[in-house]
Amino acid sequence: MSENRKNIRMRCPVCLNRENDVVLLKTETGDYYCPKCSFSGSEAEIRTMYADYRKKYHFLTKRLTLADQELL
Amino acid sequence: MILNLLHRPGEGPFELQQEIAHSFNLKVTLMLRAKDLFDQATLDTAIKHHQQYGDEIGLWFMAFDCPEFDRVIGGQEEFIWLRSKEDKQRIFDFLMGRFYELFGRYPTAVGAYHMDCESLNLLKAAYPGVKITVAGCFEEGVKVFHGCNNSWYLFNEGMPWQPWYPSQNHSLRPAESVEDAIDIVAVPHLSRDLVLSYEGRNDFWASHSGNVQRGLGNEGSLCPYNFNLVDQYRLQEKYNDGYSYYHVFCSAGWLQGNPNIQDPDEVSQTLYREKLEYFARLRNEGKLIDMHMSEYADWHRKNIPVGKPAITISKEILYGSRKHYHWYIDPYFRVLIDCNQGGSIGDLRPYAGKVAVSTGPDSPHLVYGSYPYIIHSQYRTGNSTHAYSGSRTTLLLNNGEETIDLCTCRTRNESICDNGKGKEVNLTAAVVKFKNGDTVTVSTSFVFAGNGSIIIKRRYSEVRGKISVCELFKGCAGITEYPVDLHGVKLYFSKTPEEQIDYAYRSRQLEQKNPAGLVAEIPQVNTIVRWSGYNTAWQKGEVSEGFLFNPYFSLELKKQITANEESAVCLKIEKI
Repeated sequence: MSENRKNIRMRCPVCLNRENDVVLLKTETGDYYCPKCSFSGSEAEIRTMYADYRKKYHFLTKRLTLADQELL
Repeated sequence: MILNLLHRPGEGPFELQQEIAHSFNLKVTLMLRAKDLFDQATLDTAIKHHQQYGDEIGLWFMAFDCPEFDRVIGGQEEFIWLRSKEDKQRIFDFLMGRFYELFGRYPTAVGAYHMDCESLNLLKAAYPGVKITVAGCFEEGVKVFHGCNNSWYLFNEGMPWQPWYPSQNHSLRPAESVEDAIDIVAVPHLSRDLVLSYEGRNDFWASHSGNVQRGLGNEGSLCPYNFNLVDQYRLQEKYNDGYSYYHVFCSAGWLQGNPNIQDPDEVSQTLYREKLEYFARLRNEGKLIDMHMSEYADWHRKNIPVGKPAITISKEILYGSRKHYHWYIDPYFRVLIDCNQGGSIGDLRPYAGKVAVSTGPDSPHLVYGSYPYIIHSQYRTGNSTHAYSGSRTTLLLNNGEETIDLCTCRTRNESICDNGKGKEVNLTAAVVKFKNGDTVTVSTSFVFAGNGSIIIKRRYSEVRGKISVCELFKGCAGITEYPVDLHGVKLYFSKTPEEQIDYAYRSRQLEQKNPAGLVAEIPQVNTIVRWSGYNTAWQKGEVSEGFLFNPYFSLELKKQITANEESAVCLKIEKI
């Protein structure tokens, strides 16, 4: 794990679904909450939601070369 | 493909970014910001890299937050295009003067996220040696405003996706002639995804690896999208006489601690390195030429004449939708053809109207630097999914019992060719099936003749049933998602111009048999739209006024068709 991972700021996954970047704030217990919508949750839950967010990108891990795109 | 790679000093691992580029022997244009001109450490680095690696040093009109600027100019407005005319001049004189003090010459490469025409005209009048500017962000506006929590006041929609000669009265409109042009080459800030910048946020999907992370377009250090986008642009060489251009400008702050990125810094840095490595590989294979900005300006002037049209085949490369779009641009208009909606026009910017816009507090346009649309199917509804349909073109097919909108039929690009008059785009055939078993196959072509017109041709085959068709143009005027007052719009038939609807939201209609052409005059954008038959005897025409809950106008041409018939309509855009 990178040394600076602690400093990574989290964006609200619910707002991100609306393509809106909102940085989450931390609760006293170390969880996160959104100042714009009513989402709250742990980092683990947020990262799970990020993974869900990515599911729509069916070509996320697909390399499409120039030759591939000519046929696409 | 030609590459311009830009870096700028700032918060973040600037030296690392430079080391990455230099390790691949890539040419870098270093854009010094206002505050950098007063920072000795930054200046020393820039001069060293210029001397050692040949980096070009240019001037980026941003980062005004330093005591020297505050003493001379003042004010909190941090973007040049949002300053008053007087401030623009003072800022240019102050910063260009400082640059001259430091380097004994003025910069020939400059830029900002947006350079409006007032800024460029002032700059060129005082500093004629400036050759090239970063001048706008392709399709940045409403969606990024929303995406930044309604706080990013940069409206640049309606511009070219590749370098252009900006016109005197609107920097985002490509000039129609040398006389119409500001004497400078404009390049886009970043190269944007040719599909996703229309459907979504142009900032996520661009030649900026940090922003791709922002869009969650990566899985850790795995991000084929960064390479796929490069190849999306390389594909355009095939349709534009071997020419394509790619712009990369990622400030160092995106490689360390950016709040919009949830990956460790080494992921961000790895993605950036791999992207530059790909450029170096392409260059070594003879498939890419990297240039400094001023070098590109010289190349552009030598090889791209004013008014040269351009076209894309825009294939969607992230969602796996298999969607195709086409952008076409010339001095008369910029148009988007949505192949997925049967060839509907989804974005239309009437450059022929030569709408004059500059930005700043002393301009009536304030922050709105976009070139206006008369069709926008993303912002202004397009095909109906809720209430009434909005702005678009389409073909409606009716068999006496049912109407089918060609928008609901997916097509794709079949071919793009030069037909001697201009570019021709042919779509795959759409098979239209009615509930009672009637069918018709529709093959659509678009001919861009370079005179402000688009010929939309349809070929009908395998016709079963008595089918009539309606070519629909549904338009409006606007810049954002919100309706613009359409009072003043006039609707009439070209044969009877004295009989017209003066737009007043009263849902009135005029009909004519055997019309020659239908006309909409849109004073809001200085534009006349003509929707006329082309080698086709249209049987009926209708011009319709909308109402407040459907604030558009419609132009419709109708006829019955037979098997193996062709019909065509000519869309012409003219200045009022």
